[in-house]
Amino acid sequence: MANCELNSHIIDSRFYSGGYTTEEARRVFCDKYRYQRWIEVEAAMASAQADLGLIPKWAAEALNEKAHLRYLDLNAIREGIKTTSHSLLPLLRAWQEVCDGAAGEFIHFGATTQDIQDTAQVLEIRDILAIVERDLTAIVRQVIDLAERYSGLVIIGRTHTQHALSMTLGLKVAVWLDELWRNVERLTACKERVLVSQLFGGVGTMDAFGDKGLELLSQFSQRLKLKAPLTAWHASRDRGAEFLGTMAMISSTFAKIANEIRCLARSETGELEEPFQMGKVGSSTMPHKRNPEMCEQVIVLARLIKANAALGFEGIINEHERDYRAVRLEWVTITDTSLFICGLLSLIKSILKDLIIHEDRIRENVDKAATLISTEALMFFLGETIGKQTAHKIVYEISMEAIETSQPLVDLLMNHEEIEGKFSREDVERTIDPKNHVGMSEELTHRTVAYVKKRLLATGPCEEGERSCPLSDRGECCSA
Amino acid sequence: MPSHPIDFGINPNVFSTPELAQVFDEKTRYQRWLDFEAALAKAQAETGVIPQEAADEIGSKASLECLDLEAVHEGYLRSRNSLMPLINGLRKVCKKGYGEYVHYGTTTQDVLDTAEILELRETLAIVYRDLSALETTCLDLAKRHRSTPMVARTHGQQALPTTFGLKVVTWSSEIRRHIERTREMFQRLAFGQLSGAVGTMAALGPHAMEVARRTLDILGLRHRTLAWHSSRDHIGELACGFSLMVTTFAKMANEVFQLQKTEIGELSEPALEGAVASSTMPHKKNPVICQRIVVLSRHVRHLAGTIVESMAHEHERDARCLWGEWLAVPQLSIHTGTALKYMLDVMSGLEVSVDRMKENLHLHKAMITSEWLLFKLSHTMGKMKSLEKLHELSNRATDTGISFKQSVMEDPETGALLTSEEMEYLDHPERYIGQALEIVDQTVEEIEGKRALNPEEL
Repeated sequence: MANCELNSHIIDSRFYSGGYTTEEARRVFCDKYRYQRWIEVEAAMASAQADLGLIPKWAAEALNEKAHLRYLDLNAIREGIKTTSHSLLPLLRAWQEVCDGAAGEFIHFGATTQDIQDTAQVLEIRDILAIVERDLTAIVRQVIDLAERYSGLVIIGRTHTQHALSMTLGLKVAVWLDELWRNVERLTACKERVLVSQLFGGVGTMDAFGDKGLELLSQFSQRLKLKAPLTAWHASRDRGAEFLGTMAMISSTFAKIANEIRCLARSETGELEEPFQMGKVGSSTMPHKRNPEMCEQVIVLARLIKANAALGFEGIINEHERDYRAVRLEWVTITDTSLFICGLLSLIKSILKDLIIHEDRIRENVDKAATLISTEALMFFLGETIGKQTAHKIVYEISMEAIETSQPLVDLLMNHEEIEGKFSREDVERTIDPKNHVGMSEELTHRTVAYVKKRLLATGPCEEGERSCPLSDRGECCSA
Repeated sequence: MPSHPIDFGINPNVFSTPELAQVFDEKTRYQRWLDFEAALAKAQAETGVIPQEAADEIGSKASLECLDLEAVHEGYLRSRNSLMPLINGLRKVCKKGYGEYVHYGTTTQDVLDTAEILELRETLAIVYRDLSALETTCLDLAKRHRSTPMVARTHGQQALPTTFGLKVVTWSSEIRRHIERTREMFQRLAFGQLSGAVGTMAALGPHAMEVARRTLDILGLRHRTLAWHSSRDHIGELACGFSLMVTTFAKMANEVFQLQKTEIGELSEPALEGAVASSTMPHKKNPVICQRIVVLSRHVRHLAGTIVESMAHEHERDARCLWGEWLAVPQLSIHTGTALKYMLDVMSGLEVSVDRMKENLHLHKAMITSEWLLFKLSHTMGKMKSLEKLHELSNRATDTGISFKQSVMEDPETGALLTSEEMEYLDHPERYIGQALEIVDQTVEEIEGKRALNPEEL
């Protein structure tokens, strides 16, 4: 195949692909594997039809025997697509060519092209959802670990980019965890609705299957381990839109996390940093740079995925019983979203695995903020002895002086004539210690971790399919 | 009963300005429709299509105060046509049966499209005025801070020294291009519509072209021979132009928002006297206006999408597209003008902390001039080799907590290659600003040259 040398989409780039997707995900959507899937779906239908007496048993057996891409002439298929402009027929003709005798006459017996392609697309989505579920669960475990490890680490909380009040890093992470777990639940619900077959014929009446249509649908679905839908969904594409929307939600949560890490990695803040190892180069001209590029790439992928979700809604608007303007849109959106989300999850796993937590900078920032954010507490503490109004006046003056002269507030306070001798430095320091102003941070963190852990136990291990190139034995495997 | 935030009365003008709200006010809109009908009657009398007395009567009654608005309102409850109840209202108050000559040979969309252009003309005039003011403000700011040193950032990380003036002229250059776009958009936009039901002008009679030209002339608009009922690229262009404009504001506002971070503190938007930032944290000072600008820009971009989509008309008229545009254009215009007004407020009162800029520039000490060092060493070591070496030294410094300068000096390879004067240069990052000052001066000069050629008004 001459075009093996052309890799013009970034996804297929031999240099940059890794930033956008994974080998594993590319394998799911490899065009050869796609044909292999179509033919497997056709073969499953033939077997079910033979069981129900719709076609002869020998024909189904003969078809199944050759239901593999390795037997087919791919060049003839490519030429056929050019001359027929049909996406499926050339494949079926090539298959017919290699089947013995009259068996080929029973290929694609009563199905419509979209039955085969939609069902195959659901099989692709199933593979992707398995990867997403596996990775998402792994990330949930990583996040649990972070939340537990840093449940007590005091950090400054920020609103409107400004230092607001203290909290713990554990709580910040627990909020991520809570959101992530809702995404796991969304994923489960999405799987329930989306993983269905399609086998209803031209306009969804099952007319060509006689009175065996429903039984055929049921057996066909069982063979492919999919659920059977109630009606045809040729022109009812909410499932595709739900998949795209769910992936957009998942990736947006990660974009938010990646952006938080990026923000906290700013030179002036320096609290978190994505993993760094010697040899990683931030800039081609500024040798000192360490850039949060993995986090930025996560945001790039999330933006692409989000844009596809909007196209998913466009795809719901179908005309009459079939509308290619919607279906052909999915061929791109579902493929791209799937490839991108796998790339995104893989990046997040790497980021979280070795996330650098600069505890010293975290402490430094919170200490800087401490005086400002705890002035109220300080005022009430002093007020008990010297009266609240007096305390307000003193704390106000001292705060302003501390800001202007950059002297520590406690030093100024302890030297103040009305304070000196009346309070111990220890008590004052305890009062403004940010540790004493983190509210329920730790309880909230532990509560969330416990909740997710309990549910995580209840979910079984993920099923994973092994995927290898259908043409590996013919030596035409390009990714090997 | 205002239920859209644009119209809120208790907390008004968060997402609008009184001036823009007035442009799109319902009664103002109806009055414009009546103005169109009066202009049409006048033109038709001049060309002998209808009696002069009819035109005079229509002209004298084509004012909302003359109409029974209650009846017009009742009419709208029963009719699904956007214009007829108002036309009927006008017809009824015209004496001697002259009402029969109202809306003579034209179509609803002629009236509404022309009135939309009148609205957009007012909007563009406001936008042009405020953009010019914003440009002046930014140019002043750029000149004032021409050589104020600060750190430039890439990937959110400190990169190299620059000047605040250079950052501001970059904004100014975008604003300049928006001013030029606004003028171009206006050139393509200021056409009325008067072509009858399917654009053939059939019911306007033999003098159709002359009637159309005269009518639109009275309204101060030009006439296009060809109807644009279903050809709305100029509206799409306006939406895209506004979208680009507010996105520049969003970028500027975000820059202020980021540089106002507690840890950075280089810029801050002007605070209102006595404003309370947080209901629970007394020390807070929030960049509120900048965030509003970002929010408005997000809406404008999405509304622009809807408007561009409305270009895909079917046949000679497509209400699905047209109504989509009707709903989106007022919001798009009001949000754009409001974001612009906010931007002007922020830039006019922007607080610039020269001290914090300096402090942050020195945060990483010598590291910030690593590029300068790279090119110093390149002469002897070769550039790629130096890059590798300095990369190693800067990471060693970061990881071991020693200064970058020290790590360079102590390294046998690099330490030997640098004189003590050269090492001293590392303490003065503000010197490593390349051609920044020249770039600022030239850009200011170029923009001011173009400004001088611009008319005061559109």
